[in-house]
Amino acid sequence: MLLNNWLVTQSFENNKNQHERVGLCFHLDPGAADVNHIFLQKLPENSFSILISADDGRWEAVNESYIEKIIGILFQPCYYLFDYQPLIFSAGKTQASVNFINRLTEKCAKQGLKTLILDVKEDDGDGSVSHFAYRVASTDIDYNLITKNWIYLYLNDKNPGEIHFLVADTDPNSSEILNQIFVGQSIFKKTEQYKMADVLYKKQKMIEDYRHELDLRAASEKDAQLYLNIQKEQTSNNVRWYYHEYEILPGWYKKLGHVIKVLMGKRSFRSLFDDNVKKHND
Amino acid sequence: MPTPLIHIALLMHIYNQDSWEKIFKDQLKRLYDFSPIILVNLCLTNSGNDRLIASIRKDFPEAFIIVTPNKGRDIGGKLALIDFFLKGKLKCEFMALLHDKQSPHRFGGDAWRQKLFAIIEVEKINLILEQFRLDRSTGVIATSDFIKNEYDKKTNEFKTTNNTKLKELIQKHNLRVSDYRFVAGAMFWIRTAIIKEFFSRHSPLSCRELLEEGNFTDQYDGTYTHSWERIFCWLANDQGYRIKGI
Repeated sequence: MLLNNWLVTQSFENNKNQHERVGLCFHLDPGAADVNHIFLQKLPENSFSILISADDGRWEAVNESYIEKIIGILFQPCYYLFDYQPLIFSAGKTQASVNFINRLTEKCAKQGLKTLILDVKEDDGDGSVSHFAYRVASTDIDYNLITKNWIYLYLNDKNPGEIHFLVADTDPNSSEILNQIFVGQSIFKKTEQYKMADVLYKKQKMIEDYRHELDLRAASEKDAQLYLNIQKEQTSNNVRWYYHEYEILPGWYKKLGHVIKVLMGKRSFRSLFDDNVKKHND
Repeated sequence: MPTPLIHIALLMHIYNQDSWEKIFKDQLKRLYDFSPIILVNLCLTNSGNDRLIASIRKDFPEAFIIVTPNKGRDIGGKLALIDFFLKGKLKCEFMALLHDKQSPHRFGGDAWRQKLFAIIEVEKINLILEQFRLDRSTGVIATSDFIKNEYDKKTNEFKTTNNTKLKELIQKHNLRVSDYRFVAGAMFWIRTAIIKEFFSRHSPLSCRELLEEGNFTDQYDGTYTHSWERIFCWLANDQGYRIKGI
C-alpha cells in the first residue's frame, strides 16, 4: 500500500499488536537475534519487517551466524517485500551500523537476495525528499507535505516507493498514537492529493508487476531455448550412435537379425513380408 | 502393543506454481496417518505465491513455508529448508527431500520424477521406515533405479562434468567417502541425525552461497548445485551409514 504503519517491538512475547492494519517491525538487538521462526510462520504474509538501529554500538561484534539468522527471517512469507525485495528499516548511521548493513547486504546477495534498506527519519516531513520512512512519536504528521514530496519524486521519475510510519511499542502512548494515525489517514485518504498519489502508486506497481512478469518470461524463453538445444544435441547423438552401431551393417546381416527376432517372438512373421503389418507388441 | 509413531518430515521444494495441485497435494493427503512435518520452499519471484501459500495452508494448516530466491534450484531450496528445520528446532527421525522435478531438457523427465516419487507412496514409506528400523547402518533410502555411481577407481575421477567441483567440495568439507553412490534426482529418505550432524558444523546457508542462480544444467560444465546432489548422499557415508535402494 502507499501508506504503511508499523509497530516497532523488541520482544515477541510482550507484543500486543492487535491492529490488523499495522505490521510488526522487530527492532534487532545486535546481542542476539532470537527470533522465533515458528511464531513468524503464523503471521500474515507481508506483515513483518526488521529495524536496525545505530543507537546500539554492538554491531561491530556481530558474527556470521547472527547474519544468517536474519537471512532466515527474510525467507519467511510474512516478511514484507517491496518489488520482491525484503524491506529493512535502518535508523541512524554510525560506522558500525553501516558496516553491519554492508555485511548483511553482501551476505544476502550471496543468497540471491536483493534487500531494500530504507533510512528512517524522525517524525514527519520537513520537506526532505527521498525519505519515506518515519519514526513517529506524536500524531502531528503532515500527510500533505509527505505526499506532495512523494508526487514530486514520482513526476521526476525517481520511483519513490512506499511511505512507512513506525511507532515504537515502548512509547507509553503507542496505542493512542496508532489510533490517531488511523483517524488521520482515514481523513487524508478522502483528499484529492491522496487519491492522486494512490492512483500513481498503483499504476507504478502495475508497471513493476508487468516488468517482473516480462523478466520471468524472458528467462523462461531463454531456458526453453537451452533445453531445446540440449534435446537436439541428444537426438543428434542418438542418431549418430544408431548409425554407427546398426545402420552401417550390411543388409543381409540386418535381415538375418529380423529372422532371429521372429524366432525369439519379438517380431511377427508376417511383418517380414508386409510393411503394413504391426511389427511388434508395445 | 501399537507401533510407536515414527516422526517424519517432508522437505519439498516447489518451483512451478502448478506443482502443488498437480504433484504434491493429493499424494500428501494420503499420508495423513503418518502426521508428517511438512516443510515447503517456494520461489521468491513467483507472483502467485500468496495464493499458493493460502492453498497449501488450507489443506495443511501446520505446514511450514519459506520463500527463497531461485538459487541452486532444488538443492538451494532444500538447503534453505534444512536451515529452517534447524533454526525452528524441529524434531523428527527421518526426512524425505523432494521437489517438483521436471527436467525439461531430458526426454522422459516426468517419468523420472514419478519413479523418484515412489518413495512417498504409503506402502513404500512403511517399507522404508521398517528398513531404517531394522538396519541402523542404513542412512539413505531411495528408488533403486536412481542410485548411481560415477566414480572411476582407476583414474580417481568422477565421470561427470562436475568432477572438479566434487573434489573441491569433498576437500572443503573434509568428507571421507568409501561409497560414491548417490541418488540421481536428489529425492530420498535420510536419517535426520545425519543432516543435523553435518549442518551443525557447516551451516546450510553457507553451503548455499556457492550454488548457481537461475536455471542451468550440468550438460556442458559442472556446477556446485549438481555436485551437491551427489554430496548429500555422501554425508551419510562419511558418517558411517549406507545407502539402500527399494
